[in-house]
Amino acid sequence: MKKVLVIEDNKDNLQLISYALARSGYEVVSTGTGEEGVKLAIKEKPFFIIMDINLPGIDGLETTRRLRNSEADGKIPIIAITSYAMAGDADRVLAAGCNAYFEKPIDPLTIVDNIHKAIRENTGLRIQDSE
Amino acid sequence: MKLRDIHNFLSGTLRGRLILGVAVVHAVMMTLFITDLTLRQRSMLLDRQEEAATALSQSLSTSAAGWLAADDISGLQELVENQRHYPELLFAMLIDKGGRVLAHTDKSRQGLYLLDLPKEARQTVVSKTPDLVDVAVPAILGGRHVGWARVGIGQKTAGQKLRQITRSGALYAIAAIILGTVIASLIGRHLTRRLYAVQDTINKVRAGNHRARSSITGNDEAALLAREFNDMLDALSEHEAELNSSEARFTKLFNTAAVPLCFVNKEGVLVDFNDRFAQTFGYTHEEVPTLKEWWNLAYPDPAYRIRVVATWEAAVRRASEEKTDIEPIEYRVTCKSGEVRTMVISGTTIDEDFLAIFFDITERKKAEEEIRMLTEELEKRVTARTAELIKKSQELEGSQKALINIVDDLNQKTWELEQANIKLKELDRLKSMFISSMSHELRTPLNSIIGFSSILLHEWLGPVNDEQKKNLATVLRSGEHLLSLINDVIDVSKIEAGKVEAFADEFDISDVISEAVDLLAKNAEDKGLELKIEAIHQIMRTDRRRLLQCVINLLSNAVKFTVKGGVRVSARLISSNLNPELRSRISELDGDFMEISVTDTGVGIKAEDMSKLFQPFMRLESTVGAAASGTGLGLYLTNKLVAEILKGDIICSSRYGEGSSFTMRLPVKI
Repeated sequence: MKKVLVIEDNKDNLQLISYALARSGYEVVSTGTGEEGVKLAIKEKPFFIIMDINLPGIDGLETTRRLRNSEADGKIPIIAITSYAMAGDADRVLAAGCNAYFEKPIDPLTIVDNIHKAIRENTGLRIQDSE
Repeated sequence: MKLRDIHNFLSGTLRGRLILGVAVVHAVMMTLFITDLTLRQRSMLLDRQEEAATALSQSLSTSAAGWLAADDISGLQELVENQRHYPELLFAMLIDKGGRVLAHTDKSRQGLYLLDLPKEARQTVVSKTPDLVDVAVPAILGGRHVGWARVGIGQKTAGQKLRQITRSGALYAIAAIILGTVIASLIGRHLTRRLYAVQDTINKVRAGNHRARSSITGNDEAALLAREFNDMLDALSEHEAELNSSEARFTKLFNTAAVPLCFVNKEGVLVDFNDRFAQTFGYTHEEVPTLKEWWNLAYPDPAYRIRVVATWEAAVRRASEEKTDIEPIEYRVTCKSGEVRTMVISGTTIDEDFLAIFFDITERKKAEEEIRMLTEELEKRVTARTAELIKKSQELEGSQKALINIVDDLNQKTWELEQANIKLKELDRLKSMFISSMSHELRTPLNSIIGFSSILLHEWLGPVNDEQKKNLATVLRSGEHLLSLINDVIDVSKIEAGKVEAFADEFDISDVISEAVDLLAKNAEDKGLELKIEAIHQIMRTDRRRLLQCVINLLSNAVKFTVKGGVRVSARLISSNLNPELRSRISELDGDFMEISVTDTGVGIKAEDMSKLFQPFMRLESTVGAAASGTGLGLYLTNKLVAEILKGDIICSSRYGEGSSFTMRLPVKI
């Protein structure tokens, strides 16, 4: 079972994305802080990472930058899910090293397919859709 | 005349004087010489006669002494007769002591007494002339004076000889004088010939041939004179050439000078004046030969003339005393035409003459006068104007005070406005912050509301009944409505802050129309409305996301406000060239326009509401108003996006109760 690391401090949001990921057959590993997320990524080597931007301590952008520079495979796709929707947010997220980003609220019915699609277009990784 | 010519020639020319001098000296010398010679000969002849007479007398007296003592007359006579043949003998006689002629070569004279015997018994020359040398010698016998022997010798032959000598001496003298004169003349001619050559040259030069030069060679005084004369002529012609050129220059300067000039000599005669003088004053030389006429004509007013003459003469006197130029003084000169011109006349004295220089300042005077009059006029006007202004200014002061109060008020108000503006800017910043935070804060709960209701509704967590499904759908729809509200608010906020940028993509317009229609298809179907597409295939290059948003907004409104009938979406190409109004409105863009219309058969819009259509939070009253849900920002946002991102425009036409049509006209390329 492929692992997905979800770095998200809001338990409700974590629950919702976990439902969607589980339904597509992923094992969810999660943490509420960026520091912990970097360690987990090195340890668990997830298939991809779902990153909240607004985190306690170092934020999602900094976490992404550290991940990109860490011992962990720097090519792990990082998908940002953010409630920032003002102009310039998307640029900052992508500049930090994320492969794609989705604005909250997410649609649990389509989010995983959309993530797969983004990873394919962005990294060239072949992903077998669960359905 | 002839005599005078000769006199002139002789005394006047060197040659003449030379000849005359030589001839006179020669003549005097010759005359003296010949005279001396003649006199000597004559004297010598006389002396010889005297000797002969003396010798004869002595021998006679000696011979006759005895006879005398004896008083033997016949013997005496005989003795005398024997002397008769003595050459040149005029007479011979023997006289006794008492003076009685005892014997005489002329017998008739015997017995006569002589009175002219010497007193003393000594040999005496009684007469000594060339005609007669008469010598008396006393006859002494035994120491006793006994009588006299007296002999007279004539000089008929000697006199002739003497005259001949004198005559030939004179002849020789004359011949010598003539010869000497001729020789002197020849020598003089020879000596002066070279001087005459110089004279010739002088005559030629005098006659006007200034190029003539003496060609004498040699080293004598004449040649020296000729050379020095030539040198002098050269120097003179050089000097003359310089003088000529100088004079030509002066004459040209004088005649062409731009100011009138007049040359006056010490007698007051206007020797010359230049063309400018004649032009300016119009007088001719005949009219103004001297200063007197000039003054009479140029200053016809006697009183003024007296002043002018006095002034001028004083100036000339001063100039002459101080050895300076004649100082410039202003005069009013009357021209021949009668015109009076103002002249500043100055002058330069040249020896005792002077050159008068005229400066015409008539025009300047006129101009000065005009300026003076204008200045006076101006001063008058300024004075009048100043008085007026003072009056006005007094009036204004009152107004000004009032104005100052108003300005003070305005300043106060401006300050207040500035403060308000600062507050507003702060408020604007706060608004942006608020919207940003609200957006962020609302999204998290909305994520849960929409997400979990969707999961539940789709029975991921177990079956739900119809009643529950209906309620869950309401929760989901409400959440989505809230989300669209937030999105619209954020879009408006971004646009108003100028933070929205256009991202140009290339796409087919029919794809965008289809996508929008697909999104609204279910809603339309639910209401039983027909959705019709009339879209051409056309590649556009503009912001696809914003265009899609606009089409969805219009389509969503159309579906929302239509109860029955249908909605038609059309897209067609129009040329901006056919529509100058459109072209001018969007002048910076060239090319074709896409016209996208959304037409419905809905409730329509009242004419009075048309103007409020694109204002924010404008909810129109309508029959379906209560039922229709919306943010009130849709048309406002669409209008903003069309104008600012898609660079097009949007128009609406509607009939209340019959339907509406919204048409966007967008450039195919931005």
